[in-house]
Amino acid sequence: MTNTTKSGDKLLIVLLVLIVLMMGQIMKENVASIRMAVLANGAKPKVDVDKVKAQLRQAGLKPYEAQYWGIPGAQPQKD
Amino acid sequence: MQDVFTGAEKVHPKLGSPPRYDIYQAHPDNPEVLTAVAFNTYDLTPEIKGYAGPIKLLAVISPEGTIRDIRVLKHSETPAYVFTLDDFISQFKGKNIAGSFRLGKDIDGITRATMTSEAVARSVDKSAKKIGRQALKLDVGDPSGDQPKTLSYIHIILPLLLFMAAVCGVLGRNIFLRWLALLAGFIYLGLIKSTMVSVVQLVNIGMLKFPDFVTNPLWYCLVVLTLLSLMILGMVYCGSICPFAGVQEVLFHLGRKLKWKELKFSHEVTQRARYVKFGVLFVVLAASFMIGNSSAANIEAFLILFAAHASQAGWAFVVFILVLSVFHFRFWCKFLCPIGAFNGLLADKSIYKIHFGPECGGCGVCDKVCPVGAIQMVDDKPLIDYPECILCNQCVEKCPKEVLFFKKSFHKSAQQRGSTEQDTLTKHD
Repeated sequence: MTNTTKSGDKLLIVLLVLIVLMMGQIMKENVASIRMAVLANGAKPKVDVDKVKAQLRQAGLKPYEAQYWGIPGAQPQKD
Repeated sequence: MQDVFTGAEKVHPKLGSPPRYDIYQAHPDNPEVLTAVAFNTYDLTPEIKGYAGPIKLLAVISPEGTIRDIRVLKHSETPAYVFTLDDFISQFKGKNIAGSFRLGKDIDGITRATMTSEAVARSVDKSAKKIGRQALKLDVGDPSGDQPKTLSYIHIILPLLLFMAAVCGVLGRNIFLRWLALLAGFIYLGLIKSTMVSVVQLVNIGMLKFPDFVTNPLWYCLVVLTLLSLMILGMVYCGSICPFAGVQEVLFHLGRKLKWKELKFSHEVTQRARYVKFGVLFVVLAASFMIGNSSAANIEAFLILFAAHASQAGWAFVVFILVLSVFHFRFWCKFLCPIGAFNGLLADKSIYKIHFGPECGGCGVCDKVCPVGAIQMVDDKPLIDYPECILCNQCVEKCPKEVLFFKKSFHKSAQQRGSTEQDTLTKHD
């Protein structure tokens, strides 16, 4: 194996690592672009938490039943 | 919905026929004044599909028939083609549903994403007019862009001719036909249609997302003809049709004309580096199926180049690959192309393959002339790595004893093939 080929091999490894990283970045951007279209910039139902809480209270529900509205992912307490 | 109608007091659940959401505004005198009607276009026009399935949109129309807002709910289109989807959709805002929505006349389509643009325009047009007539009782005409599509036979005939030229070039050892097919592939598939065999298609097939045959017969022709040629002869598409391969070959020859130094790598490292493309294929498929759409598969340099839509990183990537192609023959195909890796796996099982006759003396000329390094000399006998062979016929042309030919092949591993060919040679000697 000549020195030229050896240095060529090292260069190939560096190039491939660089390209794979670039591909990873492009993949990330593409996935984000679809998510942006669907989530961030798309239709996103928003709930007026205070208003719903007030309506729940007016409806005679107990305060703890309305607590989970403000906590993302939280579930209502079970009796 | 609350995002679109910040002042809306009441959004009724989806109901009625056609299905829709009625939006009411609080009013001191009249507590329920209909402010707008919102609907999912897919509920009304499920038959209209984009390039890779339905495009679900939320459209909001005022009682007078003005489109107040349109938002994307879900789509599976290829990201490289729909970078400007939001700009495209914003053109509909403010238009009256009684008007026409003809692409190219009333609405500017997305460049190189005609199917997506047409699907959105037809879907909005048809569903909005339906809502206008049936829910809002407005006097609106028939959809303007809803003329039934007819099958375009030209996009069946052209790919057939393209593959025929490529196959004739391979079987007839005709270099001119090969270059003609590459040029035609570049112009027709690359520049005009921007439709190529890609890993995005593979993902969509895996997810059972197919475009409409009538509106996109080219998609089906490319898939079927590529699969058929792979199963019968091998890498016909990659070797003689792929537009990006043609660009890379031209760049490489340009580099040699300019006498720029060629990048050369050792055989061992090249063989190992080739596994990178299989890794890319695996990652792309795994990511796509995990996410549930083909966005992760949209990393192929040729899609970015011919779709002509990319981020800065995307363009830097394509330029980098093209520069490398000047210094190394088909750098992308050899080390990185995920669909090339998949095609190679099928080509390894093709019915007909290039074989060496028993008269082969092991001179090694084929090994030296193979531009992709698909031939390896093992114990002074040539061994073809079929997944890498692009059927360029360089080995067949340059063989001093003319002992290379296409032959019906049984499925054996490369090692088995090597030993069998050696046995044949030993018996012959």
